Amino acid sequence: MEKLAHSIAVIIATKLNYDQDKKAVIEYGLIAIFQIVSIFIVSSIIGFFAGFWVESMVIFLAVGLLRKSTGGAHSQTMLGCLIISIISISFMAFIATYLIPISFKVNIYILFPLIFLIFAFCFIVAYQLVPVDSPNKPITKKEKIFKLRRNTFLTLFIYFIIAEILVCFSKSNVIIDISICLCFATLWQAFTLTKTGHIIVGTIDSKFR
Amino acid sequence: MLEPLIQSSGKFNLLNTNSLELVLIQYFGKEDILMNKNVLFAVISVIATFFATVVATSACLWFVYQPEEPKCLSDM
Repeated sequence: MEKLAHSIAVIIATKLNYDQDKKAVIEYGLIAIFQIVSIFIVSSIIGFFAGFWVESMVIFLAVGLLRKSTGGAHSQTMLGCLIISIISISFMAFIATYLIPISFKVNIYILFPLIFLIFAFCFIVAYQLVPVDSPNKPITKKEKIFKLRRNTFLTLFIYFIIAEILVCFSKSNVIIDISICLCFATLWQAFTLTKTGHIIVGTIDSKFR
Repeated sequence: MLEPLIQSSGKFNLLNTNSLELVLIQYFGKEDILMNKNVLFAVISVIATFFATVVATSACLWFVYQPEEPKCLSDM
């Protein structure tokens, strides 16, 4: 996929007389597009046939949007990234849909405080570690660090409010599943910020290098 | 529709881009095709640049892979 992005960028730069900088920017943007689209398509197909498409998409969007401000453990290859992302999305969606008993899902007296505890834990992890950069994209500017931290807390707060509202005011299983998926997405993202998360992502990634 | 070209050029291979370009130019006019191609490239480059800028202002790309960031975007 990176080769395809490179080839397209070279063709466009040649035809439109762009310099090396513009070519590199186009290539970088194309890699981003390919990555988002490929994870979306594969997790959509798995979710559609396994019966948890909505849950998959909630996790796909929630993790992706939160990760933009938090950073986190990184894979060194695109294939490793695709496999880790698709497995994690499908696994969390599967647990939220099929493994959590309905009696637990409809019990607001358990779910409401549990969601509060999960988000409190994620807020603490984020406060201590965000932003977690990577060697390919170091984050050193103070203004950018401040902006990313602010965006992280804002995103977490919005997720928390949505999750609690959905649990309080919905009696449909799918809606409560969405709330649980938001919790899973936040927990997963908090996990990838930690050293243990780095080690586990690195171990899985090493199989695809 | 393709018969005149097939007859004039002998074997016609759909995978050959030049042959495909010849067909398009013959039926739609050379200037239109070249202009449309450039418009398409410009649209792709605008979309890709938009995504690159969004990613440059974030901590990382969508999921767990982060390619090396272009130097001209590292100040963002």
